[in-house]
Amino acid sequence: MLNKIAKIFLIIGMFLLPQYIFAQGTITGKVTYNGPKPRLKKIDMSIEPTCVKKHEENPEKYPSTSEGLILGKDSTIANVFVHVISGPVMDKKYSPPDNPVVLSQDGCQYHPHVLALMAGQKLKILNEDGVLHNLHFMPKVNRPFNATMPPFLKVKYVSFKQPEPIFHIKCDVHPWMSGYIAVESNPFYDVTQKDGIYKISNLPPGKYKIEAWQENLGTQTAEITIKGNETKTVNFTFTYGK
Amino acid sequence: MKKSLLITAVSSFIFLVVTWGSGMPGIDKPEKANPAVLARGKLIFNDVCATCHGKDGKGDGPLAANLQTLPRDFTEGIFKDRSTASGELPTDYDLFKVVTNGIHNTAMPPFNTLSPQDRFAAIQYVKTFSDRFDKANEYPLDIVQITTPIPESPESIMKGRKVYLKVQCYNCHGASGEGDGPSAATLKDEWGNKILPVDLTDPSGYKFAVSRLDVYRIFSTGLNGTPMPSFQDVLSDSDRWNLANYVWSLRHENQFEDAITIQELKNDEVK
Repeated sequence: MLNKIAKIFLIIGMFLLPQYIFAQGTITGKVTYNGPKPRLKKIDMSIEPTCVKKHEENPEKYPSTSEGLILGKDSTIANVFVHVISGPVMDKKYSPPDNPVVLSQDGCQYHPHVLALMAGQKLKILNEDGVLHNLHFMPKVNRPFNATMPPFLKVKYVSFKQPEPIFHIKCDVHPWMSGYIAVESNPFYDVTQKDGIYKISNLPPGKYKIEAWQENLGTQTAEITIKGNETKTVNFTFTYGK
Repeated sequence: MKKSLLITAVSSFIFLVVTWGSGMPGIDKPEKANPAVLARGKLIFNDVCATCHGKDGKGDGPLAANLQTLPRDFTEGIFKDRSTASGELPTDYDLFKVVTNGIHNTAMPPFNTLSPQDRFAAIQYVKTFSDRFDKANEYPLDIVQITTPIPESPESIMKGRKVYLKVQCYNCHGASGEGDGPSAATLKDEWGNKILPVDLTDPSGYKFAVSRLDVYRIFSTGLNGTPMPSFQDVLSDSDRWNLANYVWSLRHENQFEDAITIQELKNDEVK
């Protein structure tokens, strides 16, 4: 009899246990801006007629203003990098995904302007312009380099061995070209689009601290506890001049 | 006779065993000089170098502000003239060479009046200003190989001119190499200071190249801290030699004159 009850509990346990072990929480939210409307500097690209032409033909795809603070509808902010900075996932090892992250040099601008990838993951760099670009990457932990993307080189792959905080990349030929790259040890990060929405999923239960970074408005952090299969919402508001 | 041969064999075997896997100092792994050398280096540095480079190696010595080309700030471990791949640290010999020969057209004089031991001690002390030299992940250094040069000839120089146009060196160095390309005016170094591309037709403009071999080397290494990138991955070895021959010929003003202007080149790009 007792044996039978134990068996039943064991079976129930077998069904319940994975739900606890493999519980996956999600943190999501919206990043918005509260402050005076930014006056973005117009970029003078006259030294590169190829890019001027691209911007004239498709101003929707290639906005020719500074990318320091790009807002969507309802003051949502694009290019905000949100990542986990402390929590139970920090000590674990995660292998990088096979598919590369793409950084495109298009219309003499970096697309995306801010990107994140995992240490060891490939970064596929494209030259869509057919003009000379140089890739002046200035990481502090990984080895810095200054490589060339001449018109005939369409694709180049690089990767970073170690995780490191977000760093600046630039092109010296076109001084307005500016971008940022973050190298993470785990896959728990996201970069917002124009809608300002970020989503970090598949988080095991535990106490987390997440950080939102914007290139001109600094960083903000929030603490969240994930208990099981649940979605928690954390919104960030960046203010300026108040 | 036999005995001495045996001793030689045994001692070289012991030497091999002892040095096995320890690598080349200053190239394969971080290496700190012994305290006596560093003490000697500090003495020389403070006496000779600190007036420009500052006591803490930040490039802020009492004379620094008067100089047109600012003295190197050693704390970030960024050095222009090297034999290593883009972005990497210099070898000990690279630093030794700069101290010995000086840098042309700048306030950095050749310190060949100091004994080699003193120059070596000074560079070991310079290395202590940046923690990059202590980090294991900065090593081993990737030394750029110098291959057999392609002899200078009108054919090679003409081929080099084509490479110059293909890679669009003219964006900074100008259509005829005079350092007046469309991007020249906006260039900045990694410390935020304005920097001009070298006028390749002016023999006294070259800072780091005393031969076409150096020109070739710089195409492979790039100049760290400046906009000059590395072309090692994008140009074949013969392309780099032909380009070096072309650039070196500009200096003697016997260049292949095709009179192409920047406007024509840029209009071609758009098509």
